[in-house]
Amino acid sequence: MLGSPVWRGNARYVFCGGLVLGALTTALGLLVGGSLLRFAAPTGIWRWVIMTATALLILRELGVLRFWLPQNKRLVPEYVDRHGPFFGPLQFGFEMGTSVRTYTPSALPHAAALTVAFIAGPWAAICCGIGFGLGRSAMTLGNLYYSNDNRWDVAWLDHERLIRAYLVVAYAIPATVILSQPALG
Amino acid sequence: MSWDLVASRRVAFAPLSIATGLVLLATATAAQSVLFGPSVLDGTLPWCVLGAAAGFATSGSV
Repeated sequence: MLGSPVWRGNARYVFCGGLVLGALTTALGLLVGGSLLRFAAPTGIWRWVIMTATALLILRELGVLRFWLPQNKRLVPEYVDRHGPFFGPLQFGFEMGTSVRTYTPSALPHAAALTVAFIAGPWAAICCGIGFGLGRSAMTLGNLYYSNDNRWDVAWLDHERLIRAYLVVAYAIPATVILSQPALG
Repeated sequence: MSWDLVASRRVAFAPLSIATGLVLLATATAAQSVLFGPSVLDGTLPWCVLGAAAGFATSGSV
């Protein structure tokens, strides 16, 4: 995987910029789409819907429940360098950052998407989008700085259950803060 | 590159270290919310951390 020109030199940072832009685009799309549906119920109702959905998705993440989640199981072609050393990695990162053309092995992005669609304001959606892109960038840069031989992936697999549990905690804490804010009604 | 630098990189960029960092960040976010009450940070930090945790959780996809 790391043999692609996309991962070399400054291209990795351009790729990460694409991840952030893609995630930001998805977040704003969810905000617009969700805003049209929010009129169907008061904000207080949506808060309970999101809390219930988040709880179910967290149980799925922990392996307690099993159910299908939508995902577009396609990988972005890695050799997109035909678009040049800047726009190739940028396009690659953007498409992956939107999360609409990638495998999604976790349920947490779905929970985040629902929260943005039904609870977030414009600023919150921007923050969530940037955070999502940076979270994905942490994987990319962590992988590249950790080693040159994909041992990062091995380290992930070695501690996968613990990492997933940590990430559930890291997700659940801010979700609780957000959903307990009185402004939601 | 000296062994120490390699070793410290291994620790700093290990997936478990990044996940631990996210937990610490989430805890700090909640703590500032409880200690200082509603503020601009309250509408910013939790959303960033929530997004980052969700984004990093998709790491298995690459």
